Amino acid sequence: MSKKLVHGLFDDDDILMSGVKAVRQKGIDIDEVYTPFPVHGLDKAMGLKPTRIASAAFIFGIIGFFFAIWLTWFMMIEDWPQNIGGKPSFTWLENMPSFIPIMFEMTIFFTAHLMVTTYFFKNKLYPGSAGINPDPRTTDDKFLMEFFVDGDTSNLEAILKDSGAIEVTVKDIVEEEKRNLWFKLPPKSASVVVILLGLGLSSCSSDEPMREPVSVYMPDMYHSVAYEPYSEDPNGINSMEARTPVDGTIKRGYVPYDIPNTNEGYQEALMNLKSPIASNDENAKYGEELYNIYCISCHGINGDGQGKLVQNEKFLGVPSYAASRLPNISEGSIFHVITYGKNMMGSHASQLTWDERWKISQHVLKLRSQLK
Amino acid sequence: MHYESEIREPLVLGNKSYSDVTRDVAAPVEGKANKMWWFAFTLATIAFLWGIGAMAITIGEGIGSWGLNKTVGWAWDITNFVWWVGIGHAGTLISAVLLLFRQKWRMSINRSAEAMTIFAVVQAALFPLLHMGRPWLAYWVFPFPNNFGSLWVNFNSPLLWDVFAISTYFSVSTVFWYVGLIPDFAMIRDRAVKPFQKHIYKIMSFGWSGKAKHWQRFEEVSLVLAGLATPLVLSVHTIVSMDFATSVIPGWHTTIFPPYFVAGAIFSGFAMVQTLLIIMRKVVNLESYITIQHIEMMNIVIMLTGSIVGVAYITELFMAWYSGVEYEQYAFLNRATGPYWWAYLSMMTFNVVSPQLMWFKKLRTSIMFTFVLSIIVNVGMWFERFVIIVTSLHRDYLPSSWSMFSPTYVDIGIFVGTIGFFFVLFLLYARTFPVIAQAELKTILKSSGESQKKLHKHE
Amino acid sequence: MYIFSQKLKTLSFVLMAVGILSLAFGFITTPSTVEDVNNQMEHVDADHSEDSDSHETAVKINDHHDEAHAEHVLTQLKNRPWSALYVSALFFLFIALGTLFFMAIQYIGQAGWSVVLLRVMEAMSTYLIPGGLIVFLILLAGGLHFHHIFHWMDASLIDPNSPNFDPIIEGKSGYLNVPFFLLRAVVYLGGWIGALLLIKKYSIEQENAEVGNNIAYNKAFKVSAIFMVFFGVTSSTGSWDWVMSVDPHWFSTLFGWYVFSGMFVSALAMMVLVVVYLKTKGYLQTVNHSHIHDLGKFMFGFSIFWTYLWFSQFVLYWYANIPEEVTYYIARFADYKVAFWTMVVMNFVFPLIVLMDSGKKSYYPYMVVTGVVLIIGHYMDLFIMIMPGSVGSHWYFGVVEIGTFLGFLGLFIFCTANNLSKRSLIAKGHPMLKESEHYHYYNIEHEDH
Repeated sequence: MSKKLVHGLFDDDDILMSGVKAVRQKGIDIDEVYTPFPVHGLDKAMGLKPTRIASAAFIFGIIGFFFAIWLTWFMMIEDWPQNIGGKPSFTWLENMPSFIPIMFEMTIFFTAHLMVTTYFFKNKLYPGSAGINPDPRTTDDKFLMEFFVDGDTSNLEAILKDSGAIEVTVKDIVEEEKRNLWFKLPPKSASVVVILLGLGLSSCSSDEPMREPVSVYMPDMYHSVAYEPYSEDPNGINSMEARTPVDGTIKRGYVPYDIPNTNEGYQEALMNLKSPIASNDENAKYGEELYNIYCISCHGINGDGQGKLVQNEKFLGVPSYAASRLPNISEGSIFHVITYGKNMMGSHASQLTWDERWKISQHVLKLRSQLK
Repeated sequence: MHYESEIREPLVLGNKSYSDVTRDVAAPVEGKANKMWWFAFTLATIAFLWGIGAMAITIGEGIGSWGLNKTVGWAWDITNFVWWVGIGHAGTLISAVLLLFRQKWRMSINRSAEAMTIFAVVQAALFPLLHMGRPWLAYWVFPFPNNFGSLWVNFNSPLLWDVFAISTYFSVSTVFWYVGLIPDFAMIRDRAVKPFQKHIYKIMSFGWSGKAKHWQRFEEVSLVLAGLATPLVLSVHTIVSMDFATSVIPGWHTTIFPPYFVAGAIFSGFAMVQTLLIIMRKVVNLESYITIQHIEMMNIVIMLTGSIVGVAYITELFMAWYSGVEYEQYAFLNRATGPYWWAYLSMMTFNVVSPQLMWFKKLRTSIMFTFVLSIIVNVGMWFERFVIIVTSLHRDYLPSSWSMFSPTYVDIGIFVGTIGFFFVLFLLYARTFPVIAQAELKTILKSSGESQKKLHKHE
Repeated sequence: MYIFSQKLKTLSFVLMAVGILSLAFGFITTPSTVEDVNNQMEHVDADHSEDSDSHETAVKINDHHDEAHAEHVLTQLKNRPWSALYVSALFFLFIALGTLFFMAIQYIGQAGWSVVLLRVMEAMSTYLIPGGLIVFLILLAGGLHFHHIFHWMDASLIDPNSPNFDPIIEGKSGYLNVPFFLLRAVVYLGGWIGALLLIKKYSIEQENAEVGNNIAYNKAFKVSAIFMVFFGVTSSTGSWDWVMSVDPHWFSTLFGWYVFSGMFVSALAMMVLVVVYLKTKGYLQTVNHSHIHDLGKFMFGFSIFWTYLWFSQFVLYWYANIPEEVTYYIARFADYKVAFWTMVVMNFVFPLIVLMDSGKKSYYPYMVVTGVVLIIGHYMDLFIMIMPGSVGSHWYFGVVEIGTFLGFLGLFIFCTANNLSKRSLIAKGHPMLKESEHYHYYNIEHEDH
């Protein structure tokens, strides 16, 4: 005898539930039930195992949480620490309150999207897949029980009828009719997808760096119609856009520094410039704090030239303060270098005031004395 | 299982069976658009096109075409951004929070509210995008290893938190919405007669067939998504509020901002849902599903959140005095009595006083009154953001730089354009999507349908 | 009917006696003169000289014989038994108030599931009456200068001719002055107790009414709605008065809502303990796992909500780093660091991990353990809100603190059990009782036993 497909159609969820219980009591397994809406308790009545998708979601959440920790740690602490708004990013823990929103959002993002992807995958839902409910009415108001039966079906038919089915149909299964639905993309659209993917990926593979600048849309945004500050201006005094302040102008709180940024100036500072501020614990401690904000990334906490950015090879050639490496520096020359910069090092005059620079010089000398 | 107290009003009116629900929900999709729809759609498209023009001017000419100045460097755009994001809060709140609280009345309105959320967030996202000046470089806000000097984004900045919050919110809301839509698309697919329509809905329904195991997973996924979306809704407007509150600007830096912004967002979001649903229930004949009781419930939420917002306004005002910080005190004095007093007064009247009218049952069950009030509330909430942003900025610490803000036609054009775009999307949605979560609604029909409830009474 | 067993009665009396004895012990061992303080400081100095940078102890301890400092320390030490008493009294008052709020929510939200628990809520919130009286007496004692938990009550601070003159506190004196302060306390307590008594009255009336006559139920609904408005304002102003003004210079707009969220979680946790206790004694037959599950969800959800508000307040002050704001947290990090973080772990991480799994929310052992942890955690939270302002770095967790907590627990048990025994345990006649009895949450994993 061939395999048969039995369908029992119901028109009420409560009758369906009692039908499911009746069939199961007779020891018959139900292969599938199609319903237009979730019928609470149906899964238990059918003997389905509870879904474990929530546990999967929990794991996805943990992945997202740790991914966010890694993301913030790697970008803000490890790879390129920066001093932003007076909150230097040297330890993850000290900056953690700022990262909590990111950690939260990433946890939710991973949980939700990976869970829904799992849900689509497990239910084999994807765009283009055809519906496999045997009767279109099961998305409207009908409920359908499905059985694959070997042999005699009359017993089952009777049970279904007794428990209130409005229609019972029996069909022989022809091989093709076995709805094997697992991933059936039509070849045409599959090839289109493959070609598009290939084209997309090909744009990533370029051995040579781009020589030409990329084309610029709306160049107005880059090249202002108005004269740029500090650019040439035919109408300006000396053809300059910016006006020079009145000679001798000093901004508030600013202490002028007369030694020029030249080799001679450097020598002058090295030999003759002396610190005007007292050398005491308070100044040294303040200098240390500033050093740990502004200098530590390159010069390192001990002044050995092994800061984080040097270790990460973002900058190279940062010298140690040790006498063996820099035999000829004084507090004056340190101040001079912080003010104007030297070689790779930029000027720090805009970030640090005059007395702050002196305090840092004091700390640098202290570090130097501790280095070999 | 289906028992519900007799004193509860039915949520589905009329003698509706499962199949009636199917037919009523599918009707707008299967039928033809009427004149009203075309009229509204044309109007919205015109507004949208105007907005596109204003956006083109912004991108072509630069941000100088806006009314911003050196003192008020952030005004119209961020006001609209916060306003739209706020509106985009009700949908997920209805679908997630009310699901967790098992409020059955959410079933008839959650689909449209979620759609509204997604469309509103799209409008919101346009503003920061445009303010960037070079929107084609917007992807720079995401962290990725790059060849521009290997700088990462700044995770200390609330603006970056916003990028993460809004994109998570947008994508998770969309997914939540779509998971619920799939069975309803399948319903339309199985009813469709025209081959083209059938094909489209076949693609959109992802091959849903309603197996028991699928429904079991569906319910679990819905529940977990609701559990995730609830804190997510809170986090989004919290982070938006932190754009302001982490600063040291008087009037912005105050700890009540996070929960108070969230309450305000729910307030304005529900008002927008009212505005849309009152029209929609009429136009597509859904009065049996979106009943006066639904409108009343939403009005109560509006009253509640309006009162929370009111308490927050008064708390801020009191704490400004109590703090003893003179800048804080001046910021609030300037809000109430400075040159923008009219904005402050509108905010107070529209947001605090007007929702209190909902205490009268007669008013909160009146459709006309609700409709007018829902618009007033959204105008008031727009003024709230304007007051917070502009009055805190326009008089800063240095009196010589005090200034005023007035929008240009480009500012206004973009705002009107987003309203047009929003309605274009919503109108298209109303004609092509199942506007009521019919599968979920069917689960409460037996306990809360009018005729079914009567049957229980006689049992 | 519930019968207040002799065993429980004895227990509650023993706890109350422990409370009174430990309080007496606290007062006896408090130093009464500056000399005593100096003697004590000889020992204590070594430990405390390092962490003296909180604003309360900003005065350097280097000089032992500094009279002014010794007097300051004396004030703080004298505050200690009073503060311990005040924290416990306020904590249990908040539990009762949070329960009343929850009950009002059930009425105005027309909640069906919780009707079988209404009488438990009524009994728990009745503690408002004795608890409110005690808190009021403590506030009154402050006004009469028996203790100095409320620093701003010192009249010399607002006297421009006094060396102690404090212009900031003077600026607040329109709100922070003793008569207005006490008047507000009377209004708050009066309003809350009034709403409580009315809701209880209508609940009994509804029980005796005919079937289908819901007049009393509707009245309870209205009282609840009015109470919610009153509570919306007074929960904030109350926590400014009673908790925030202990640090009179500091301010935070969020504070009222933050205190509210903590009170709500502790009320839910206590409710879980009471309901589970009654269930294990064989009462509340109609309460099933689904009801416990819902209480668990509330406890879980509002623990997260509490964390959200805690974080919002913390991160904004941490981020802006404005001295007059951040001092509050600096004081807590300086002297209370371990307690502070332990409290956050207990109130957030613990419920998050234990209650995240849906199935756990209806297992008694998980619920009881979480309830106990949350109650202790929120007591610590309140402790850390009050103590830095009243006793500064001179805090201990000793006989007085534990004793007064147990004493108020005894009073709370007595009051709740006594009330439960007077009326039927189920609010019969409530129009949604049947819905509540039939309530079953489909997603629950295990069957009722």
